Amino acid sequence: MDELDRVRAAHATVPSPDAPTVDRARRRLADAVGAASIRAAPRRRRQRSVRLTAVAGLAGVVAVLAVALWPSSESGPAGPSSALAARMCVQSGTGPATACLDALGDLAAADDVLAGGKVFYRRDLWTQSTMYVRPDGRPEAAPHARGSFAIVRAGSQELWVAPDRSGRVIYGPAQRPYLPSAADERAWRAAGNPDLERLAGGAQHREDLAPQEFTEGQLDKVLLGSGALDEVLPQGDPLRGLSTEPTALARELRRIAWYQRVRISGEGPCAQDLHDCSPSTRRNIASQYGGNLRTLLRYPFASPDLRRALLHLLGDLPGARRMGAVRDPAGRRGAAIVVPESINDGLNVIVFDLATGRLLADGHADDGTVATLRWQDVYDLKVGGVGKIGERPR
Amino acid sequence: MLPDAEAIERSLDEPRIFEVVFDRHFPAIHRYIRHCLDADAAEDLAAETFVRAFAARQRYRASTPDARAWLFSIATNLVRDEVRRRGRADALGQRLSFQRPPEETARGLPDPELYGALMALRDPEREVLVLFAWAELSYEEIAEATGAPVGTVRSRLSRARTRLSELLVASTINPGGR
Repeated sequence: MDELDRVRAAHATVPSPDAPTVDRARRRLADAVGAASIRAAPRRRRQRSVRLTAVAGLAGVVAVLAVALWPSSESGPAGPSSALAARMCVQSGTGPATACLDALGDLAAADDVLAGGKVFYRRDLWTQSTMYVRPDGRPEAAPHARGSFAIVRAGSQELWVAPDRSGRVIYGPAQRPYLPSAADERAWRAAGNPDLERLAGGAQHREDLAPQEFTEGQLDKVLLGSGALDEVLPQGDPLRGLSTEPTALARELRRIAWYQRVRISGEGPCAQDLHDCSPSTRRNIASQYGGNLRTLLRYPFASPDLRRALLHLLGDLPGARRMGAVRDPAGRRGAAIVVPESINDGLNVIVFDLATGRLLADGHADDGTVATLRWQDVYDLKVGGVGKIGERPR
Repeated sequence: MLPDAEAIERSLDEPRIFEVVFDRHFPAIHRYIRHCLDADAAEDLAAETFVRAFAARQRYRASTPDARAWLFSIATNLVRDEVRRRGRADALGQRLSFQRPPEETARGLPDPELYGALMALRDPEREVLVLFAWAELSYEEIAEATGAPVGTVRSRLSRARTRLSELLVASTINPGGR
C-alpha cells in the first residue's frame, strides 16, 4: 500500500451521512429554493384536509394528524397528500405497491390537468436511439457488456388534443445525449468522462417526423390504439360507461381485454369467464388488461377519479411492487413501481410523480432494483389545458 | 441522468431541479467535510455548501458538465473560514484542518501516523492531496476548485506524495517522533 492508498483508505473509514442528516440539509436547501417553487398550491392542500376530516370521523382525524406530523423528507411539494405518498411509496422501502398507488391516486384525483383550458397539451421525451459504447469509445453490440455504457439520444414531442379528438403532434429537435442509468454513469466516469455528443454522433434527421395534423376523432386512434382499445370503447366518447369504482372498473376492463384478444386478435374461441381458454390466451388477456390500465392512465381525458381507480387496479396486478424513490432524466423525483413487463412493451418500471400522481417516465430494471434501472421515455415535461391548438401552457 | 450543468441551468427557471445536484453530491461533500471537522460542523457546512451553490448558480459555467469541482471549492472555502472563525491557527494549518472532537481523539484515528504526516505537509500540498484522494477530483477539477494552474496542481500533488511517503517511512523507523 503506497502513501496515496493510505490516504484513500483513511477516507474510506468516514461514514456517509445518515438519512436524518441528509433530510435536514435537504430542507435547508428547500428553504433557500423558496416557498413559491417548492410547496404545493395552498388551495389543493386545504381541499384535501377538509375532505379527509369531513368524511372519516375519528379514524380520519387520526389519519390527518399522522400525515400532518409525519416528518417529510421530501423537498418537493409538501402538501399532506404528497407527504402521505412519499411515506407510502418511498420511505417504507420496497414491497407491495397497493398503498403507494392508492396514495398516488388521491393525488391524481386532485390534479385537474385541463383546468384553465379546453385543449389538452403535453410535452414528452421519447428515445430516438440508444447506443452502447465500450470503455475505449468503440461501439458495443451487447446492452450489458462489462465496462460498457449506454448513451440515449431523445427527441421531444408536443401533443395538442381538442375535445373532439382532433389535434396536432410536433416533434422537436433531438436533445443532448444522456446516460440512462446510474450504472451507465459509473461506467462512463470510469472510462474518463468521454464527450457524449461525440460518441453519440450527430442527431439523425428523421423525415418521418414532420408535424402531424389530426381531424375530428382521429387522435383516439393514436392515443387508444394499443391493442385496438379504441375499437372496443364507444366511438366519440370512449370513456363513457367506464366506472370510477375500482371493482366495477376491473370487471369492465377484463371484459374489454377478453374482447380484444379473443374477438379482435382472434385467439379464441374461449368464454368470457376464461374457463376454457388456453394458458397462453389467459396470459395474453391478463397482459392486455394491464396494458389497458397503462394506456388509459395516459389518456388525456381520463378524469381524475378514473385515474385514481386505474392506479388502484395497477397496484392489484400480480407482481406489482414499489421500488423506491428515483430521479427521472428530467430531474423529477418520483416513486418507481415494478410492473409485469408484458403490460408495458417490455418495460418493467413505471415512475409516478410524488406531487401529482402523474406518470413521469418508464424504463427497465434487470433485477427490479433502482441500481439497474435504465430509462426509456419521459412524460409530461409540460402538461396542462390551453385555449387552442398551438398554444402552450405558461 | 441529467448532467449537473443542465440541471443548474434549468434550475434558473425551475429551482427545484437543483435538488438533482444535491442528491448527487451531498454525500461526498459531507464526507469530505466530516473528515476535516466534527459532525455538527460537517452537517452545517455541507448543507451551507449547497445553499451557497444554489444562490450562486447563475455564475456556474455551463461548459463544465460536472459540478463536483465547483462544489468542493465552496466546501473547501467554508472549511477554511470555519477554521479561521474558531481561531485555531495551530499546527493543523489555516487551510484545511483535522479537528476532531475529544472523544474521537481519545478513541484514536484509524491511522494516526498518516494524520501526523498529513498535518506536517504544507497547506496547499495537503489541500491538493486530499482533493485528489478524498474528493477524487482530476487535476483540472482541483485547479478549478483551488484556483491554481493545472501545472501547479501536478507539482503540488507530486511534492505532497513524496513528502508524505518520506514522513510515513520516518514514522515507521522512529515511531512517536517527528
